[in-house]
Amino acid sequence: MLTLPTLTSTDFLPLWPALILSAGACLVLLSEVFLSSASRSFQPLLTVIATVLGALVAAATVFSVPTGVFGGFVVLDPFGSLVSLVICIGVGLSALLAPAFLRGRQAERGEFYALLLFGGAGMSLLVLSNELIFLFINLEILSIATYALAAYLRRGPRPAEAGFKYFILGAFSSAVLLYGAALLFGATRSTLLPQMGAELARIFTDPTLSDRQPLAYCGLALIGAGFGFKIAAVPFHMWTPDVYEGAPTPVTAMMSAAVKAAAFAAMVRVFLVLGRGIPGDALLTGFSTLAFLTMIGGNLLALPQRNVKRMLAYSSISHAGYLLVGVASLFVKSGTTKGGVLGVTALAAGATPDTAGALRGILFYLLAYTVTTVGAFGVLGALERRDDEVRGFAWDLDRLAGLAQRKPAWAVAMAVFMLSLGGIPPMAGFMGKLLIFRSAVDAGLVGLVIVGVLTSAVGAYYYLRVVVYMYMRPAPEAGGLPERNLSTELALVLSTVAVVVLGVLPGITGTWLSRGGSVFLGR
Amino acid sequence: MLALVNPFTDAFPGAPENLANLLWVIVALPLAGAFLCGVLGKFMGRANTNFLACFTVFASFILSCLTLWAVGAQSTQFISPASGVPVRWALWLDLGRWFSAGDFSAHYGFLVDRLTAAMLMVITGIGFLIHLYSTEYMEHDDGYWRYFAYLNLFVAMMLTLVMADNLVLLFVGWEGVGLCSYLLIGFWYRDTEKAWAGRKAFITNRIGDFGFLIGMFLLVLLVGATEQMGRETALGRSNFSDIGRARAWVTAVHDQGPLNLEVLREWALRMPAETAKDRPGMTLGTTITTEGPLKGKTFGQVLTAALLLLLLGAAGKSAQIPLYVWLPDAMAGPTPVSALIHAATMVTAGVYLFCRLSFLLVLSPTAMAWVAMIGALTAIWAALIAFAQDDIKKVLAYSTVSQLGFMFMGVGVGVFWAAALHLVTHACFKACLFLGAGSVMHGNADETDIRRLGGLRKEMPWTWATFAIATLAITGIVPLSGFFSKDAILHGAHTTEVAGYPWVGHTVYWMGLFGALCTAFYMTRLYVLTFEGKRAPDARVPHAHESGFRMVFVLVFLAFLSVVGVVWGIPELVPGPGGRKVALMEGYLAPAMNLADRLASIYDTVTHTESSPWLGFAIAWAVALVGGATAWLVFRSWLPARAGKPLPNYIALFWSWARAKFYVDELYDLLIIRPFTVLSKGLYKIVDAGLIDGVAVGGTAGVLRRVGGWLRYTQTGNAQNYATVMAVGLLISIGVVLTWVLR
Repeated sequence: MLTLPTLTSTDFLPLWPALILSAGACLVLLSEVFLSSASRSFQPLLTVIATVLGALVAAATVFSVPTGVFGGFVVLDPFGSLVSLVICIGVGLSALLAPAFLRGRQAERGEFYALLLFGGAGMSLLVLSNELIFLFINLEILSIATYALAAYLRRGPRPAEAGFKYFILGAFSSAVLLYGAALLFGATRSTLLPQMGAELARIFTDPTLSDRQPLAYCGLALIGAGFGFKIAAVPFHMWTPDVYEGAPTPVTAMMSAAVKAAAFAAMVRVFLVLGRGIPGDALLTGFSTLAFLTMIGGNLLALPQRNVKRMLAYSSISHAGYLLVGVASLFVKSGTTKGGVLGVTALAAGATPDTAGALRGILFYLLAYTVTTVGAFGVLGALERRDDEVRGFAWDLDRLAGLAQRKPAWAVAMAVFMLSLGGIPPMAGFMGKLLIFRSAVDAGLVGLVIVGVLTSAVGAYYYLRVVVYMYMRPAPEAGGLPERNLSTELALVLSTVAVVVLGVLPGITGTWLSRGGSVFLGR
Repeated sequence: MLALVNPFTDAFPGAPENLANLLWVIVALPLAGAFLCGVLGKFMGRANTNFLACFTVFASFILSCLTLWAVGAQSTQFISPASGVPVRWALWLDLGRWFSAGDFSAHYGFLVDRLTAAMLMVITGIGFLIHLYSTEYMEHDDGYWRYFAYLNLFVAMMLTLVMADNLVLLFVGWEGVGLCSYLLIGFWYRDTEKAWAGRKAFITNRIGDFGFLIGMFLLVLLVGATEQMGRETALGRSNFSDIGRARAWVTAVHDQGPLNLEVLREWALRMPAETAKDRPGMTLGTTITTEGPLKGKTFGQVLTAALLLLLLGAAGKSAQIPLYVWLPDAMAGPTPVSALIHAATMVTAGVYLFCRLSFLLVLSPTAMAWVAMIGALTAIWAALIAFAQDDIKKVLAYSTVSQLGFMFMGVGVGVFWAAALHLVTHACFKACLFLGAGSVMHGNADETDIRRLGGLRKEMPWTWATFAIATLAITGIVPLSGFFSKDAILHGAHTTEVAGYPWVGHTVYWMGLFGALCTAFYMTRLYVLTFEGKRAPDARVPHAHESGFRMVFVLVFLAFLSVVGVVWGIPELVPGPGGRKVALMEGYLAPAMNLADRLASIYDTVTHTESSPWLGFAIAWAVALVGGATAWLVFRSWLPARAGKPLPNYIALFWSWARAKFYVDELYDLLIIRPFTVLSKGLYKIVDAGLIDGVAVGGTAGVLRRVGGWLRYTQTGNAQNYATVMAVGLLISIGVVLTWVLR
């Protein structure tokens, strides 16, 4: 018998950011209908207001006690609130980059911002989903918005190709994820994550249920592969450079910042809740293998790139690798030592894995990476020119040559972003890497951390090459200058300041991030 | 936690001790000025930048005057964090923890006692005058905004140095002033020689800073060992018999940090000298038993080592033997900079450091003897070099080195107040001399060679008059400030016995007298050649012009200070501690120096014999007159009369050696710099360029780039291929799970 749940205002508390973003999207769409003049400059403003409101609301719930609401479909926990906050920041900053970019291509239309906001709402919901069907729907909401955005400038060959590739491969990965969910449902007979976790624990302890173990493993592997696509982990990364290059630059910024943050957070939640009952180090091995491959693959592929936008795409793969190191350290069971690159080597006896610390590290990294990558793509987007895009050398390193003489402030901002991506102090990226690697070392993943540090050293080469071009190469004769645009500059200033401040004074996020370790795991 | 107070409502007016809450503003004002001048100076324009830079320092000066008033008030006191008892005549502001690492912590804290207050007056007062002077001196230079930003930053850093309540923060100021000094010496950096002078100053100072750092580390270990032994050994516990104070001290060691000045003061009190054998508990002769690098050494040995290392640091900053070589070259900077940084304030930091740590210094007679002898040697050495220099600024630079030697002498024989007094008076008259030299250069197309000046007395009357007064002051002629301050040091040396080194006091006295004789000689020579006689035939401009109002005003004011400063040094003027009649400065600084005096008299490390100073003063005066008169005769009548004839051999030989600065620079070059350069070049070629760059970096990069290049071909751009890779990856992982994990 079906009983309607009684909903209270607490049930809606975690949904507010998504509601605000959706409302903003509807407003933007409606405004398009009643538009009386050609001026659309209020639309980005509306978008930014919606994201700021969403961020404020998300921030207000950071100090809540972790609970399940909506009959357990949605969670209210600080981890989710903080990721929602990061998502709102990412979407807002990307929206600030958009007006100048779209105006330069005569493509200002309301649906761009509406799609951004709908995507943001999907991401925010994805992070809070505690039930597999709900989770899948939210994943699709955000994916469809992103497919459309990637192909937004549909007249050019590259955006169309990018959008189509993204759609095909995205559909493939969604199918994989859905299949995994179906297998898991078969094994556990539930779609609510906490119940599934409890059932999985029973499967692995009760000998009479051991025939369901292959089903469970296959389901987890398929779900992992589905998320692996969204976060661009090797070997599910192949779409990334093509799509990132072809998509409009503000959209690329949003994808590499907010979409990635949302997918990571959802993956962490799913596997934390489900993984409690999995014995041994199957999950650890899975994630550390992914991290290993992703760090090495992303960095090596980025090395020969002269196309900065593609380089940043590979860089976003490598950063997913560093984040995966943090994720892997979540699944270290205390007391196990195996050694090796992928295994656990405890440096100090009695060192215990610190899950809350690792989650804090992941959250800080997501925040730092969001502000950095949006800024980097923002500079790139402002510098590219329409005519060169088709031929594909709009983002060549030469385009940045001598930027320090032409636009010193832009060069400083870009240098800050590059140093942060390279993990060089005093930038935010350094603190993020430090936190993640520290929690991994505490958990005993010494081999993985060594690989991470070595590959970051490799990364320094291609990040610093951008700085070298900006500061040490002469400016080309006919170097076009980006037009001044208030909102682009605002976004760049905000992200530059954020990168430096987070790097110098990471403590300002202290009390908030210290809450980030608490994830609702169900009763 | 920041305990900042709104300066306009809360703190003022009110009781003097409320002023503690405002101490941070004294530093913050010039710091903000530096920021604004540096960032916005170019856009604000010259007049606004000038005004802003002068205003911030002047505002700091006003606040410094208020603190001077406050530390003079009976009611001013704070509760010492290290002992729980009140400290009188001093202000303290703790802005909270700066950083902590393990057991070590350091705070942002400002401490102003009477010694600091005197320094504040010098830094902000003379600092303001020199800012004012600079506005005219730099009026034709386009780098004015850079100049004033550096100058304001210097003032802020110097204020940090003297106001720091712990040695770590003091070191921040110490390095900060070094940085500003470097920036300002090389201010005209397009001139290679000037840029090199800046580097020389910086590197020489780094050698000293190395000593300073190691000295600080030793003090940290020393305090840590004391605290640990106090807790763990029966011997140590009896030092800590007063349980309340002991707890307070231990808490302060952990909270405020071991380098907090109050913690160190309390340590000095707790740790009796070896001579106090009848007391139970640890003494300086006790062997350290706690684990660590100090194990097996005695407390006294470690303290002496720490102080000697600090002496190395002080020798770097205050240009003493063997690290004095940078100061003469530092004259490459603008002249007001030489006056402010390289005469009045920064170079006295070493003297200030030892006055600040006087309570530690008196526990180690060995360190005192070293300080005194280094000072005395430097005083004579630099004075001899000054004999034969022809550059007006170089003479003044060597004179500064020599005068700093006098201050070190004072510190080394335990008359800290006299050293501090000489510091203050020297700041006034040497600033006046330098600014006078700047005025001479300004009026003579930047001519600095005194052989090509001369006869300026009539053409630059104001510069002449003020320069003459300052010359008399540094020479030590009676009614001027330099006399009493210098001779208070000499008198102190004469009547002091440092335990275990009975010869030091007298040796230093006679060397000091000789130094005073030399001072009188070379200063009179400088004055005569510049201002008296006729204008040299090969002068750059036929007629000098007097400087403008702002420069002259500053000169007159400083000359005035050089005269009235005398009141601080007249002996037996006011009643002092112990019923004696003492000089004003001694009485004034007594609260700041009382711990050192107490420790010195309890443990007999320094003994002062009471005697009337007047006879010694008469001798010193006669010496100064003889030196001055000799120079006058030589350069006014003897040499002009012998024009054309060669000098006697022995004089010519001395002259050529002194002119070449006794070849010390060449010696350092041969002994240290050359071998070092050869070694570095060899290492660079073999290790860096060959192994690291060639094999390690180049090789790795080549391999990685090759691999990355191959991997590129996997990125075909074909969506089917992409999906295949994904599917294969997925299949492999599932295969692994099903075959190995489940078996």
